[in-house]
Amino acid sequence: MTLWPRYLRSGSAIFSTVLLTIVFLTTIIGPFFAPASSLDFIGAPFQGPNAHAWLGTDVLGRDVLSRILQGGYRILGLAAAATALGVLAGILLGMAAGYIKGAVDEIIMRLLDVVLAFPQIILALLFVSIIGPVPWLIVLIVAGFHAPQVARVARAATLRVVEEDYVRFAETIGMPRLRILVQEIFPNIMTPLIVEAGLRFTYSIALIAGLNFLGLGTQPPIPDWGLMINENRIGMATNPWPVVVPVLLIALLTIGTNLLADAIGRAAFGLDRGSRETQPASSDETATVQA
Amino acid sequence: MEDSKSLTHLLGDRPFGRRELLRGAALGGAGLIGASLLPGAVKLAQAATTPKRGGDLRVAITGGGSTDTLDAHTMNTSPDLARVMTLYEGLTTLDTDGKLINVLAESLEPNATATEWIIKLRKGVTFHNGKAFKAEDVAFTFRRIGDPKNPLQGATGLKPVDLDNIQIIDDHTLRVPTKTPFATLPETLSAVYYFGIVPVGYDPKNPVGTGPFKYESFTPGQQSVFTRYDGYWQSGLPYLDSVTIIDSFQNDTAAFNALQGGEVDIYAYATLSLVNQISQGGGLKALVSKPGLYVPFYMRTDVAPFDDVNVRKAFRLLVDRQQLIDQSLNGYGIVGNDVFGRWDPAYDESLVRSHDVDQAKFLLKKSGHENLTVELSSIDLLPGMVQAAQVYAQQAKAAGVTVNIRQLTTDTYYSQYGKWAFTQDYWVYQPYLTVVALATLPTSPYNGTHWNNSRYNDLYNHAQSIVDSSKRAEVIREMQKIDFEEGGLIIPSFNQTIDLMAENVQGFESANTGNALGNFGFAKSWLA
Amino acid sequence: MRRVDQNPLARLLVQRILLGLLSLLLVSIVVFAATQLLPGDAARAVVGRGAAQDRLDALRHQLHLDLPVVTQYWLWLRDFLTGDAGTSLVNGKPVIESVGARISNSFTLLILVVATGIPLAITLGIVAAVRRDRRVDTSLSVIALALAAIPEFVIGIGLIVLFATVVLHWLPPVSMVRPGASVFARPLMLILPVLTLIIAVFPYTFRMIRASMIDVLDSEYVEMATLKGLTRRRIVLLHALPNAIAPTIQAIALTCGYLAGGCVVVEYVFGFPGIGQGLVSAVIARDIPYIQCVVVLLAAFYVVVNLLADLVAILVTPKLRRAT
Repeated sequence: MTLWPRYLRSGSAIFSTVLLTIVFLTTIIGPFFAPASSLDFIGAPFQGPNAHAWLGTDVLGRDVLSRILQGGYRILGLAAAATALGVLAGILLGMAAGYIKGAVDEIIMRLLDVVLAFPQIILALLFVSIIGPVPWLIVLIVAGFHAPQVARVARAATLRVVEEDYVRFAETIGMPRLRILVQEIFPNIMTPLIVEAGLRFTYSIALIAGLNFLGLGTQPPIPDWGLMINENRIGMATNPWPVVVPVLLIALLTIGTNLLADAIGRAAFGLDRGSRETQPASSDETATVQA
Repeated sequence: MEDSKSLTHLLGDRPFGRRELLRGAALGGAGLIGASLLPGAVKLAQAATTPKRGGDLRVAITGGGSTDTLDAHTMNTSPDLARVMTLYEGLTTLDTDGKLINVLAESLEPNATATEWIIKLRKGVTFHNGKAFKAEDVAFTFRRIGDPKNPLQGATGLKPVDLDNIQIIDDHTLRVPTKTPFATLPETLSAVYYFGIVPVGYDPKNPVGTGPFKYESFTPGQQSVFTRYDGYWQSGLPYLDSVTIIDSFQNDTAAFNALQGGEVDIYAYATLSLVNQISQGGGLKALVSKPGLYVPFYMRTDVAPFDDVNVRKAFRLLVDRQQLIDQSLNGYGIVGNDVFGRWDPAYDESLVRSHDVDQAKFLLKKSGHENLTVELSSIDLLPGMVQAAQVYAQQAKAAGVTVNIRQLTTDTYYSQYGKWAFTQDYWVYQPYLTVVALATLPTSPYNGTHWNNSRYNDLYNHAQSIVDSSKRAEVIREMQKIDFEEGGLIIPSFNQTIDLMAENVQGFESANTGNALGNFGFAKSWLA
Repeated sequence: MRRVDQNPLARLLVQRILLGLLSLLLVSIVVFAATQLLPGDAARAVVGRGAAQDRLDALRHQLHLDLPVVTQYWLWLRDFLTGDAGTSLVNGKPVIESVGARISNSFTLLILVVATGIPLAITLGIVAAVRRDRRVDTSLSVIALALAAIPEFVIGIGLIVLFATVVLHWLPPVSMVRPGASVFARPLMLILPVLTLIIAVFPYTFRMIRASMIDVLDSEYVEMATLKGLTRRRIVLLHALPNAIAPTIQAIALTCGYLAGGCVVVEYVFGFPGIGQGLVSAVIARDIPYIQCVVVLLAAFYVVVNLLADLVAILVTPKLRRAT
């Protein structure tokens, strides 16, 4: 792929890759290196760093370091699942819309845009408040938020590709529509979709960590970065680490994935940095087609 | 005066650290002992210098909500408690050492069979509306509480009283006959939050009492304001111009930061871990109470699996009580042994629960409940409650028991009070038999364990007929044995509570009843 | 005055308004469905597992759950439009009462965020556009990208750590306001929540302004001006700034729309008594009428703001833009 040389030359791409690798390693390998169980009590609450607990203890006297090492992979896992699901759904919807077209498609897309661009945290709160903090529900909700935006990108990309010669040719020779979609169209819309997926992943992480922070996601006593930030706020002045470290980790994780997705995007399209997605999604047309 | 046994236990068991000094100081009265030994440590509430008149005290308490009330006889939450204690007084009360003392009553004398009491009232007391306090008001209060058409919270306590035949002998004397022997009437009446005296014609929308402060304004779930009652019977008191109770805070962080920011002067029932923060200076100090408050786990003895006494015993054996105190209360408490009435002179200190996980597992297996899963309906009424639930759940794993915690909101909890199979509640210290009437008889309004033991019930009735307190104590000890062996309560600790306040707040003493601010001693408090 | 159907501008306007109303209706249906229809019996969700049957029945009747779905929706919609947003399940009072005060508090936040955040975005947006692709621009863009990624609660807590509890102790970490008191009673309390929101929305407003400015600077008219020898400064003052009005209004709309959701988490973090915190409390307490009311109000706000933004874009752009 011609992607790589340009990618490697980008400073921010390298930086974000390194950053992400570190965070990912902490998250995924971390649990195996945790010095203590994340559930056992090892001392008085909110003790400062000491020999037994390098980052001190938390609100119930558990080892902060162990809880941090074990508190990330669930967020990543759920975020990955939600992103994959949402992107898949979005691609299917978008390709179908872009290939079949029509006025109905327009109106539906517009309506869905406004409804689903509506602050998602609120809809998430709504659903979780009724059903409860169930993991699969959260994955579904977050995926549901991603699908329209991904669909838009997929649809826009499909619209352009559909005009291409090789597609016209395939239609002329009578290739079944499904085959055209899969063989001709899909491979050529992948690049903007990969970038979009990366951005969606960032947002998944943010939303899921946010729900956990509000107490509507992962429940105690399970260690989770978002939950830890809220649980340990009361003792911030005594032992700040159970709040500060998860804050840093979530920030680094989200910054890393965003920079990376952006770097890939620029490497792929040579795009002006930041010109894509000027808005977090709205009905305004100018923000729609950027890729 | 102090229970010396518990003091030694506290100070002798573990290495002498700052925390131990703190508690030792608290147990020693107004917190002066040891204060000079603590370098840069927590500033304890000092003994008053010369009280200053004037000032508006603002008190933050969490736990309020839609059910907030000013009614003298239907309190629910800790802010309600604070309100009641500013407005009303009872015939008797418990002092800061848990001892029974007279307030609006001068004396209460029983007959030989404990079936009739002669109550003589204090003279010179007036209500906030100027009306003189008389015997007719006491009769009215009792009848209001025990009205069979609308019984209020104290009704159970007054059940033995023959309300229809209360006789007013003169303005300051009452004859109170009882239907069944009721030797502990004075003890029962010491719960001011159930038996606050109100005047004839009392209207809760315009509440009037004899307390040091009178009603000014009230917004449920937000705040209530009380101003000095100049006609208060204790002359010279209160010192403060007004007391405002604010319970709109969403959580402890908000309340604490309001205190730090000078928005409020006191944060009552503060989260225990906050004490460490104020030792670093900043114009704040802590009033640490003596242990007395307790937060029991209720197991419904009429519902599976807790209907099996072996399961109940197992659930009591698996608790590592000291660890629970250390982790959820930051060490602020003493071990409890599943029997209430801690400071009752009749309390049996020989009943000690061991921590025996193996025995617990054995009992569970024996009763066919290996690898049991239960749901604990937890509620955040006081600091440490939710943490205690989490620590318990963690400890239960060692015995193969999985405890799933379901966090309830205050409203949900109270709307189904008494129906939860496995839940928590909080109690302040009251004399043993008073609590029995409230919690462990089939007629008790707060019998969350649905406990009904006929021998136990008989013993209670027998105790109520014994006027001599030491003879009564023997019967109490019998009852406590039953509590200990078969009851549905898990009382892992008697907790200390902490009230954080600005340094200029004076006059509050450390109490062992579990009521904050030294039994809400607003009358004697002042702002320097 | 041409008739509506002949005036393309008016037609577009009407179209957008209708679309907006439709979206609102859709949102109300979604909200209603979520609270009334989802599995996990709404009444039971409020009351809990150990509920007595008669209490459940009473609650179901109160929530109209015993009526057919469409009737329920119609009743709710009718009440809502006539100003009756129902009675809170938590304190038994009309929802509208407590919502009113909260809305004005959140609105104060909004004004402050717009008043400080927008000038910042405009200034930096123009600077970045003028010095496009140079150091200043690339650094600003990277910063914007980074900030866009971070969740707001992380920004909020991060600021608390920095300025209130751990590193420095300049500001109060919580913005609790005494009931009945004005949010301006302690102005210091407002700084951190406002700062959090400004930082959170900055990437989007910045990029929007920057993109607009780049378009203006690329236009032929500006090219002409440059060729004629006008200094960069005059170009900026004479051409860039006037053309900044349209994107500014859009940036304001964007900020407002963003805040509809952003206020939820940020207010919760700081304990600020606004509509967002009200929603979180209602969700935790499962206060269904309250939730329904707040969500629809926020949705209405969001739709109206977007509508206005669209309208401004349509009205202002053809006139002011001097691109060919």
